Amino acid sequence: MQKKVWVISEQGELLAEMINGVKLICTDAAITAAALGCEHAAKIAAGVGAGKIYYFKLSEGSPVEAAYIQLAQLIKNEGADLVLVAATKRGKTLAALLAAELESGLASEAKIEEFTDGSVKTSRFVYGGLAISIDTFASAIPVVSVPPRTWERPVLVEADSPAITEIICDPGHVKVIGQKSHECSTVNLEEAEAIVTIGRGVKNKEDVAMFEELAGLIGGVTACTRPVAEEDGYRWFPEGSYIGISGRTVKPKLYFSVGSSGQIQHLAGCRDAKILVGINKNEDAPIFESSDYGIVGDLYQIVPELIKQIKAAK
Amino acid sequence: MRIVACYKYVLDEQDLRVNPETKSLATDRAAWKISDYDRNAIEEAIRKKEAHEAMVFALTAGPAAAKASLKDALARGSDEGYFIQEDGLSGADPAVTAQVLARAIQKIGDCDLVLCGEGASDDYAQQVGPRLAVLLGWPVVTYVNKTELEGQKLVAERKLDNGTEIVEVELPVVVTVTGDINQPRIPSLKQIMGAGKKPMHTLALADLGTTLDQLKSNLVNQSVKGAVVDRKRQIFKGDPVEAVSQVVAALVKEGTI
Repeated sequence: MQKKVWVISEQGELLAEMINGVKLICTDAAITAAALGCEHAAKIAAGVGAGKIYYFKLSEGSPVEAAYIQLAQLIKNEGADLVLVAATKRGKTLAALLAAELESGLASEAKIEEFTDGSVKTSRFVYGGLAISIDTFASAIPVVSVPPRTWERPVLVEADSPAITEIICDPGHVKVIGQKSHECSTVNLEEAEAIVTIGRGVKNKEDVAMFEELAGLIGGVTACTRPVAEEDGYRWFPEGSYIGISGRTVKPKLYFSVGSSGQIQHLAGCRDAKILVGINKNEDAPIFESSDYGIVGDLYQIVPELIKQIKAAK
Repeated sequence: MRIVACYKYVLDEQDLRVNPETKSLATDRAAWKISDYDRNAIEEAIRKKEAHEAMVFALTAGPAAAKASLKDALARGSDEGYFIQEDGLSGADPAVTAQVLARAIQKIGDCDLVLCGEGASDDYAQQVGPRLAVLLGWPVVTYVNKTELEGQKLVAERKLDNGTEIVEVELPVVVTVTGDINQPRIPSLKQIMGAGKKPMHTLALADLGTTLDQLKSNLVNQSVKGAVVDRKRQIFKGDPVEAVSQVVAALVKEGTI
């Protein structure tokens, strides 16, 4: 039986990933995309194969999340076997609003394990990545927010399609009065092949250069743990560039954790790294439990030596 | 002005251990705590109280064990504590938690601002704030790392994936806060001693005019099991030159460098 699946996002790339994903988990799906506040995203959804596309045109000063009431109404009218929302921060908020409006269950930042007739089963990390929760739905319309990069991003093609319907979004009660971009938000940690993450064991901001050199040698980028991005006395990295729960979730081939004890809030963001190398002066630091390779010692001796030996090995 | 700070009493995830064979989660040695970002929510409520005239109500719902949290919440500066006691709320669907909290907020009455953490340290579902807003018929502003009250208006900075968004909204409103909105203060001895004298209300679902069966749970948990990532755990110590050469050799062999 053909299933009705909705994919919802404010970003075209994420709509494309979800459309691709739906085709993988369901051979016979009628896909409806909702592109929130971005016409370009609607065209991408059309280009990569959504059967029906709603482009929600926002009122001036209205945030993306304002779309939830009209969106819930459309979903109720047209029906859905599954609703997927890309789990950006806006997406997660919208998903919760939508689920409340639909009186539906919502699995946040989850993976679809099963999608059969009348049944959706999801898995998601809880306790900062220490455990996995498996859930099913009792509600008629299961809502799932899906982390970006859950599925491969297809080649992005834009298409002008008659399947795109424009909806003028009612302004909500929240008014956007300003916006600031993060400095240097161009580093795409989610797509990095290698990452060198530094924690509080690093003493000075000037030392970051050393880690950049190491990252450059392995074809990667630098990142940090939450305190290094956000705590007073640090703030060495742009906001929002830390790895971990409430931060970024990455899956590089090679991940160096330097001078971080390996608290689960950090590990939650790098658990999908293929190879994890931990460097810490404390032998009992939990990072070593989660490392493929670990070096116990002073990072100021180890990292320069690593740089030297990797150069020699190349 | 009346402010409600909602919080969840959770097991400290740092104390949890996974049995690698059975993958079961050992919780017996774990201490309880007020969820990390919820402490920021309480702190933000107290800061608003210090800057404006306000009453702060700390609110939680959960099994009997969660009652112990009220003193902590009051020591942090809240004026009154509300605890909705129901064993069936342990591990509840966030939709159920939100329904209980919404009813309690209506019971507290005349509230202008409800603060929650962006997500709880245990399940980090990030649903309760937005769901509460829908149930109360209020707007919500999520992932907030700065708030400014100007009369009946709130100006908030939201920390989103690629930048900050500044929004303006009329009260009443639900706000969820990030971990870096403030640095929660450690209660003083005097505050801890004084907490016991503040009003604490323990209510049952019946006092909120509902029962567990009436509260619809739509997400059904099947299992929670330890996530064991298989790592090689080859740890080198001693001479840094030797240790590094072992690791570099291994990485070359793996084909990662």
